[in-house]
Order: sequence, then C-alpha cells, then structure tokens
Amino acid sequence: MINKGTPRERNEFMWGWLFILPTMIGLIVLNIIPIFQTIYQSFFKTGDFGKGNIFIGLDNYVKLMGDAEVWQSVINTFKYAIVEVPFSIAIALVLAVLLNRKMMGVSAYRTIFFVTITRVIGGMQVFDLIFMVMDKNNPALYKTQSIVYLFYQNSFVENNKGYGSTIVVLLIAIIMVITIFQMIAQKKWVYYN
Amino acid sequence: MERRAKMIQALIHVILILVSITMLVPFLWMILTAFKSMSEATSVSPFVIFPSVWRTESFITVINNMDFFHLYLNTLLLIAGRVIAAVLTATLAGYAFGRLEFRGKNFMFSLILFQMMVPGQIFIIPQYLMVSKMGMLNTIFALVFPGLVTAFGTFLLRQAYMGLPRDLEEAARLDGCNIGQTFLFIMSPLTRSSMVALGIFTAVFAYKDLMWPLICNRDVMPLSAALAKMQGQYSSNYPQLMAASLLACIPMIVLYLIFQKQFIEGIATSGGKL
Repeated sequence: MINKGTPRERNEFMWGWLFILPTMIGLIVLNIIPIFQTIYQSFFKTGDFGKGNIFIGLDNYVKLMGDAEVWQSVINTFKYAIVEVPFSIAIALVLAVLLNRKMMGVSAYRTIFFVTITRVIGGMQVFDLIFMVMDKNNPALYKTQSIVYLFYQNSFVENNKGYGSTIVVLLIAIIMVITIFQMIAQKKWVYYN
Repeated sequence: MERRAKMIQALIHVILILVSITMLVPFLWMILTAFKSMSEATSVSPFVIFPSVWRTESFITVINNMDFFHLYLNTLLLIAGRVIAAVLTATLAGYAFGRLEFRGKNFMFSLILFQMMVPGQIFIIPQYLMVSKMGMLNTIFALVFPGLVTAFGTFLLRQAYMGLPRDLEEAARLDGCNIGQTFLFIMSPLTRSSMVALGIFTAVFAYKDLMWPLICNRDVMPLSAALAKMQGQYSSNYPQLMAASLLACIPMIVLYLIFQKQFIEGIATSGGKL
C-alpha cells in the first residue's frame, strides 16, 4: 500500500497520518471503544465498582420497559425541551441576525430549522440544571428528573453501571429517531441552491 | 422609507434591551442576594430588592469554609490542560483532514463525525473505569482526561484550513518547505482566530462541566463540583450560595474581558449559546 504511488503521495500519506494520529488514538480510546463498551455493559448487572459483572442478557431492557421512573423522565425531558427550545432559539436567532445583518430570509429559516434540531438534542441531555435546582429528597423529583439525571443516579449513586448503560442506550435511540426525522425533513423542506 | 428604517432600528433596540434584561436580571439578583441577610434574601415582599446594609459576612464565611485558592487552581489547571491538548491535537488533525490527501482519511473523518453525533453520556462509564484502572481518580489528570482530544475542534479547524487558498501551499513547496514546515510556518498562523475560538469554547465547556468532575474526583474539585456540593449542604442559605457563585464566576468574567471580541464572534457565527 505504502509502496504504491508517487513519492509526493507517499509523503502526504506519512505526514497526514502523523498529524491525525494523536487525535485518532485519543478518539478511539476515549470515545469509539467506550460506545461499544457501554452497549456491552447494558447486558450486565454490575455490582460495586465493576466487580461482580453478571451477564443477564436482555433483563436490563425488560426492566427498562417496565420502569415507570424512566418513562416519566423521558416525558419530563421532552417537556423541558419543548418549553426551553423555542426561547433559546428565539434569543440565538435574534442575536445571530442582529449581529450578522447579512443573514435574512431563506437562510434565516434554514438556521431556525437546524438550530431547533440541535437544541432539541441538547435539551434532551439536560443534567446540571436539575442536579443543582432539585433537592435529592424533593418529592417533586419524580416529575422533574431528566433521562441523564437518572443515568447519573443509577450509574454513580446506586452504582448499577449496567442499568445506567441501558438508560444511555435508550437516550441514543431517542436521539437517533430525532436525527432520522431531521434527515427526512431536511430532504423535503430544505433546498440548497 | 426614512421613517421605516427608523422604526426597524427602534424595534431592534427594544428586542435587544429585553433580551439583555432577561440575561442581566438573574446576574444582578445573584450579586444583590450575596450581600443580603438571610431574612432579606427570603423575604416575600417584592420591594426588598436592595440589601438594607451591604453585608460581606456571606463572602467571609464562604471563603473560610471553602478552599477557594485550590478551587481556582484546579479549575485553571483543568481549563489549561484541556485547552492546550485540544487546540494542539485539533490543529494538527484539522490540517491533515482539510489539506492533505491520504489513504484512510475519509474513514477516519467519518469517525470524527460519528463521535459528534452521539450523546456524550455514552462515553462516561467506560472513561470512569479507565481512569479508575489507571489509579488516577482524584487527580487533575482525571479532570482533563476526557477532553484530551476533540472531534468538534478537529471539525472546526478542518473547516478553517479548507477556506485557505491553495497558492500559499504551492509557494511554500516551491520554496522548499516540506509538509511539516508548510503547516508550521505558513498555514497554522493563518488559522489563529479559529484556534482562539476553539480555545474559548473548550474553556467554557471545561469550566461548566459538572457531571464528570462529580464522578471522577472527590477531593480535587473544580469550582462547578464544589458549588454543587455546597448547594447540597447549605441548600437554603441563599446569601452564602450566591456569594460562592459570584466568586465562582470570576474566572469566566476575567476570560470574557480578555477575549471579548472572540467571544462575540464565536456566538455570532455559530448562533449557539455557550
């Protein structure tokens, strides 16, 4: 592979890989492998600090399906995103238009669309707000906790990282559905000149 | 026509003033509450806006109870570590992705895009287990660890490099620069503004990151985690909470004052909130 091509191509090959190597090693170790590890973990019941990993197949998913707390948190998160997103979009858009006067008309609508989707996905991941505002013993917590908050509680407070991983897989599934919706809608509604 | 332009101008100002008020009021509220007494802070009367006496007790208590020197230091090291690592790796990779042609480039770049699409929580448990296995929990390294590389930054820098003219590289090559020299002396200085933008984004996200510091460190805490812990302990002492919050804001205020222009450019071009 390396022997093929002109010296210049070989040169670019060498420098290119040299330059991307730190990022790629970091990305694979810190992000790509963990994605598969999390999915793998979701089939296990985890005891204290990773000791006593017991394979339980789809039991976590069965538990997830019947877990009223999780589904309530999904509803909570959607409600939060639906209320929060229009405000943040309005502010972001007003600022973007006013600070960058060239953007008007079609490109403004295009921006509304894309920013909405990204903000919804961002809103799905709300954590710190709920963590800071809600007291751990607040009876309203059930109706306010988000998916990510529940993930944190299960993984690091109750130390069941297997079930925590299952909750993350659910979050990914929801975000994937939103992304697919975005892709379809983008084809239908957005035209590039 | 003249009148219409003026009307639009006035409307823009009204909108901007309203937006500014909604953003400033919570901040002013925090400052005022920090100087109030407990009973003033929790008074239901809407007319108790200013403290009757500007008390500094809350600040003194908070400074005595929390080790602010180490909190600032930890936050600074966290930010510095992540910014240096992210800007360095993203600049190198961004150049390669944006300007060089080599086998495997497209596949590797698709991994970058893939990382940007999945929610960050999916990385957290494995990252925690890695740091734990290394025996590095409760260190500055643990805080910096997840931010050593950045897919978003690589993407940002790639876009910056793609926008530069080809002629520059050609000229450098004819003058005898190899690819490394072309990158170092000719191309990378031209993307300085993107590097600064990435640095600012990284700094803000590192500063406000809460979940990771809560998970990986019990003692070596940055400001965000220390505030959250304090909130758990003194959840009803608002003056002290606000005094601590105000002190915790200082690093970002300083950063903003230094990089005001770049902050605004970053928000104006991305339309995103930090």
